[in-house]
Amino acid sequence: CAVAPPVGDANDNPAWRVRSAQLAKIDRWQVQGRIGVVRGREAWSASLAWRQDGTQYAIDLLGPFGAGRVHVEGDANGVTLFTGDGQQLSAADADELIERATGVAVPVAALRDWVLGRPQAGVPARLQADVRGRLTRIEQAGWVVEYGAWQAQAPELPLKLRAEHGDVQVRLSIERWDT
Amino acid sequence: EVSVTQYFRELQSLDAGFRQVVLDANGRVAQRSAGHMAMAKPARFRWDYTEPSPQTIVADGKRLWVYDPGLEQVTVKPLDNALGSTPLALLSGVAPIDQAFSVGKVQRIQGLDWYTLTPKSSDSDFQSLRIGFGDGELAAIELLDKLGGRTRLDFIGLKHNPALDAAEFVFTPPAGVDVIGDRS
Repeated sequence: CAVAPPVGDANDNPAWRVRSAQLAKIDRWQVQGRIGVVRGREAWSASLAWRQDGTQYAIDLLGPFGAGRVHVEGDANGVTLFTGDGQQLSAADADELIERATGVAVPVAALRDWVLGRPQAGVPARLQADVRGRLTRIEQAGWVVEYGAWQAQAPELPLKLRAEHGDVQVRLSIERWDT
Repeated sequence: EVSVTQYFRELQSLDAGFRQVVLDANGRVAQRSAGHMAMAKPARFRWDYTEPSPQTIVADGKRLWVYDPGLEQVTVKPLDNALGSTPLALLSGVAPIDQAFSVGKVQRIQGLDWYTLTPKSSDSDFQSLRIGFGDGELAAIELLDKLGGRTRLDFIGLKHNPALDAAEFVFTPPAGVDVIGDRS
């Protein structure tokens, strides 16, 4: 990853406070990119399309040749997962659903904020930001999130992040942002 | 008319550009991608996706390598259980056609002769596969999954049984990239 400029604790970084207020306003967005999940000696990757509109969201995962397709649809009340080989699963929240479907704890609810480069609201976190006020690291809910690249132009949303917890690592590489 | 079984039995190697479109259940484009592929029996192939993001998939006869530059990640798995009955298995001769599929009658649609292949095993991960031939040559493959999603692969500039360099099917992970999985 690119070496980020010197970082410090975000809370005494005025640039982060300005940026944090801007990021808080974004609640409709869409990303396209790739997601990788590593757990110990197992790894998996897929193309990712995630549309978020307030609390409503739809996530599409595609393996090579459209195989291994997974479609997830949810809102504040619950979430349902559909797979290309005809399975359907529902749950109260996405984290529980993805773990049941894949056996791996992927922090979907938290990723909804981390992907924007902001911590989950209302959950204690240790934040580090660079001199431009971009978060370079979030420690939250037992996960360590590190950012490797951002958009060149405003609002400089993240393009590369890794989230690690125990032997699970989630990697995101984003090609396209629409806010 | 083409005998699908005979075409894939006789096929030894392939080299082609490709365009791929994935449609969701209500026909909306979920993803467009493109790149170049090569295949050589037995069980070796290389798919280099260049759009929307680079990804390289190589089967070297024993293992399946998936390299994601954006994620700085390479995954490697034994080849046999990685393929299942996907179009890949079909193309690279790992799964002989008539053993894995029942082949339907030809249907001429938009200038191609299409054959529908239905998997004989019910636990395959897709509903059906259609293969389109143009002038007796493989032109397109369409996969219909059990969610109604459709993946359409069109081949461009296909070379039939070209001589290919074996090195094309050897994958060497780039320096600095994590290699995860079973290299045995």
